[in-house]
Amino acid sequence: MKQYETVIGLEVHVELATKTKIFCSCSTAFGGAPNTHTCPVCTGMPGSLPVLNRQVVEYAVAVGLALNCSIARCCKFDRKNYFYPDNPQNYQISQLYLPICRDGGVEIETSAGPKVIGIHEIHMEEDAGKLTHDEWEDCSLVDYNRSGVPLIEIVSEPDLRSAEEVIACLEQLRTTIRYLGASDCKLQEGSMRADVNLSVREVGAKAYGTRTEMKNLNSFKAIVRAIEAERQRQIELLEEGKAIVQQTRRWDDNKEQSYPMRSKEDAQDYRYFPEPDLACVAVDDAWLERIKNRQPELRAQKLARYRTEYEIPEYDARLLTATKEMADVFEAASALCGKPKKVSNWLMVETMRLQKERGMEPEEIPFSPENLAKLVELTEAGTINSTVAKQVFEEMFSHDVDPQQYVAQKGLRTVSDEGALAECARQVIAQNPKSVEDYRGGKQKAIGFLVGQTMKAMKGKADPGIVNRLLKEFLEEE
Amino acid sequence: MELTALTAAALAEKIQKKELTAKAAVQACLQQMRRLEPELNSFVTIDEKGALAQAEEVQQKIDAGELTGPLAGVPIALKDNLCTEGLRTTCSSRMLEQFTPGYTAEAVRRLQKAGMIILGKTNMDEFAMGSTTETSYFGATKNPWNLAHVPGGSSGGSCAAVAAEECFLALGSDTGGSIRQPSAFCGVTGIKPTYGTVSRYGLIAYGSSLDQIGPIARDVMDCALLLDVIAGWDAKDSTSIRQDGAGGMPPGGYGFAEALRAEEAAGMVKCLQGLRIGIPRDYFGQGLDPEVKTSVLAAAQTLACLGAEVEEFHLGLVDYAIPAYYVIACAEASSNLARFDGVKYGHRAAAYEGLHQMYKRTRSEGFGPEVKRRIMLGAFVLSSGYYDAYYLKALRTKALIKQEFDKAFARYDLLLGPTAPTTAPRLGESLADPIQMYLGDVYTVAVNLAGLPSMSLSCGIDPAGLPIGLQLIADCFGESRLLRAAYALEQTRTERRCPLAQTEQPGAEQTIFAPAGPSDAGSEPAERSE
Amino acid sequence: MSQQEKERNVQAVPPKHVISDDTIEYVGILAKLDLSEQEREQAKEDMGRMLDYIDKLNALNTKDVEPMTHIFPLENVFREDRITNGDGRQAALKNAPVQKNGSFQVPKTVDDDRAARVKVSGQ
Repeated sequence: MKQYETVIGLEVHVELATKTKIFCSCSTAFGGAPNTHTCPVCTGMPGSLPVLNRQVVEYAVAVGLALNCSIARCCKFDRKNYFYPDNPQNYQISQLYLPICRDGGVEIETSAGPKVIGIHEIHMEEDAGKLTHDEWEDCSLVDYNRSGVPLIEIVSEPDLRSAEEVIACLEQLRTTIRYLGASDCKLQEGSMRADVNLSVREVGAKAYGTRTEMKNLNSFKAIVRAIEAERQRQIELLEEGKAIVQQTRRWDDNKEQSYPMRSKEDAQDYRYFPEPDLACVAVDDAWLERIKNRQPELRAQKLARYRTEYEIPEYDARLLTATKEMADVFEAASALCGKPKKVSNWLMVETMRLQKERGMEPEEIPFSPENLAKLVELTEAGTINSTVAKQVFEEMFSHDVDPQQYVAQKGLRTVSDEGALAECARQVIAQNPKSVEDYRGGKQKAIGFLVGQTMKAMKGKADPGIVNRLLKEFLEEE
Repeated sequence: MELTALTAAALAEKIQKKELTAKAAVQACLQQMRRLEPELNSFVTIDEKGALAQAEEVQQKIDAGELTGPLAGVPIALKDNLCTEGLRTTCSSRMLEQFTPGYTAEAVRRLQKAGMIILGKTNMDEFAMGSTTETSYFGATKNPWNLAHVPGGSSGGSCAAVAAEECFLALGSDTGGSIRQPSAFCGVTGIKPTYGTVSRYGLIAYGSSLDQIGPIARDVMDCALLLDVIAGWDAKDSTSIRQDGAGGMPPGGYGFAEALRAEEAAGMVKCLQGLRIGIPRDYFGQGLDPEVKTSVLAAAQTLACLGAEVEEFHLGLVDYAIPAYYVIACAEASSNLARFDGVKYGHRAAAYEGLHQMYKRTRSEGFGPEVKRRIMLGAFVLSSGYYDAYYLKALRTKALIKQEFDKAFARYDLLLGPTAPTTAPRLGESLADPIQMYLGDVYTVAVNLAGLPSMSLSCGIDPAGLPIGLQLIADCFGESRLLRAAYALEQTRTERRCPLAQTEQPGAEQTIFAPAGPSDAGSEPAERSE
Repeated sequence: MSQQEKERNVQAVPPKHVISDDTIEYVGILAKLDLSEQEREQAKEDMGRMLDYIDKLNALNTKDVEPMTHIFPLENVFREDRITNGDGRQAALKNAPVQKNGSFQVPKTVDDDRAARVKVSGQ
């Protein structure tokens, strides 16, 4: 069999995190009862007119800048005409001729090393409503709550060659856009959707093959499966000497198969023309500058800085910068307590463990950096021991308590009064003759049990170093 | 004299002075409708109850001194493509026969704020596509001056209602002449304002880049007063113009009527001194009715006597306006009317199999032939492979037409010409040949392409007793100039009242209702007696 | 030849644009219109004549002319990102030809049998 190369381009739709829709003042909040977040504009009522949400432009430009795009000085909206019930006007307001961003790139890293994937353009557009299928009456129901939610569509160049690269590219886009606060980019909830344009060609061929567009990919896993299946399907067709039809296909992840999406009644002729109801968007130098100045430090910059600024391992730096929220807490807490490695440990071990246990997202950090810094200080000063510290941390994670106050209120300070500890240690020795005998018989490890018993008797608040020393002294002296 | 013959300004004054009530004005209009509607058919929906209730409410506010505006208490009719919350809005289409909007158009909201009373919704060409008001699903409106003729269109119902004194004022919309041409045919005064002057929010779109709402009245002052009420920036319409004084936009409020009153107070002698008026020779060529030509040129003479410098000139590209207009308007319409699909509102076919058949049947049943013709043409000129050759070509032509007007306005303050090549055609005469009907828009469409303000006013009566209209065109934001010249011209004119409107003319009905034919030329319209 | 005769002569020349059945069918799909046999023939003729007439534009040299969409250089007309609309469901559904469960009801959409079905209560 011939050797084939897969050529992939992505069209990534990202729902922007604005409060209101792109062309009207309806809420974009998720999950309202059907059609409650609607008005004449987003239900396509006759006579209604769109007015552009400024924040949509700001987010689109911010994403464009982060992806090294050139920003159009004057961009326009166009109408894309097609009939479908989720689209109340039967046209979508989008950008074809003059999109807001062009010619950028996103750097990815795979097992093969770093690579830049070209970004052809980014344009702004409106989302469609939601269709649900009612089996009882064999009909569909339309809800326009999502109609008019702002989207940007990021169109990559056909620079991707494997599912691994696709996933790396999507993850990089997601991290960047989340850093910007422009979207939460959740594939499952549809706030990030990727359509995959895929073709195959013989290795070494110059020309691209005929491509198909794959839709309805709701998870990274589905994307990987769909790419593999479509690659196989196209290769099989070519091997059989058949032509590949340029078409849009819909992925069914349960059946792990795709199907052509459109019928004869959907001529794919969108009759784009300039939207007469909207003005053009002119991003001048001053505005661009304001947006640039507001850009947060992105992950790549942060990583580079962490390497020199904090003495933490590369692995830690990567994990800590995976989300901006985590990185922000890390930096703020480190600055407050001056112990980045300790802060990093709390975030990478206990925080991530509890997030996972409680089904939380990596960006959900329920405590303040101030409190984390205080906790680090308490442990570093020996005011509490590590066992108590974990207990305090859980409380802080659950209720964002102030560790200093909490320790004081609950009387959790480590007891370093040797008199009290000595008394307790002697009692433990008296109550555990078996262990004492073992120790004296040469079993050094038996002291661990005695330390544990003493700590328990002290309700965990003892300084384990002192307890160890005292126990040893007492065991030796008798 | 009859109440309905009053101008809106005079009526409002009498209401303010407690000589008349808003309710009496509404009742007079309703009475006139009862008498004339069976024949005239200007209205699609008459909101009798609503109008009386509004009259009551408005009167209370007037009595309390809360409403003192110059049109408070004046009954008005709205073209049926302006959305009115709770009041059926049909665009004279079967598609929207049962449609009741959930919101009110911005222009209408402004009327309500000014204390005006909405009588109902007037007949029009279906979705404003047509020049005769014959494409209405609810039947043609007749020309009140001669019932065998059309009132023009697409705002034919509004113009006929104003002429027949079923209302004092009306709103229309103008995409390619839809206010001016029926105003000419019905002997009333109508303005298509500069694009962006009146908010389009709530105007059911035909050609979005061309549509403008405008006033229709029996005289220039009323027109100015109504324009004052509806003009102004609106945050809901991105194409509406801000009056911030920048870029040639008028600073502060428009104050059109106030300017005219100042003019009047100063005495109108030689009031047009220094005004340069250009007459495009190209508007007087082949196809222009000799009667129309004579009347318009006579008006030009009058303007010269009033001090204006009038001269002929060559305005280029006149022949290209209609094809460019039809490409742009139909393209936009094909998209604007896509929303009528049986899903959210309006007609839905009774029987269908599957989604696409539902769409097709619904739209085929809901739209009339002219609408179908235009949306098919529009879909075609935008379709793959034709976009550049047709749509972009038309937009380039539009740019050149705009340049021609720019050149003209470097030399002239106003342009003067006929509104339409003929007076109102007979009913049924136009629809047989659509292209012939489109050619009737030759003088009006270029103005929409260039976004200019333009006004039609009556300048004579033809031998068949049908009004002749002239059109004044100004550069963008030149409405004041337009109104000033029109006002001056109006002062020199013998006012003519539409005979059909007159109840006190013995024998008038007899004459008017006579079967149409060459003989009806003899019905000499009576002069308005003050 | 009189003027009228000349015009008639012009009319008699067959149109340059002959609209095929395929084109009318295609336009019907784009515009979502179902035409009867008679309407189809009429539409072919009307569209052909209109396009012949529109071809007038070809006589005009528009090279190097920017297509003009807006008359005025409208720029940067925005709203601020503030929620001012409330629950619009009632107004939205008021004119719905068929509705169910607060939604617009339409015939089953094309992808239905392949789409993940969401069960909606029949009550």
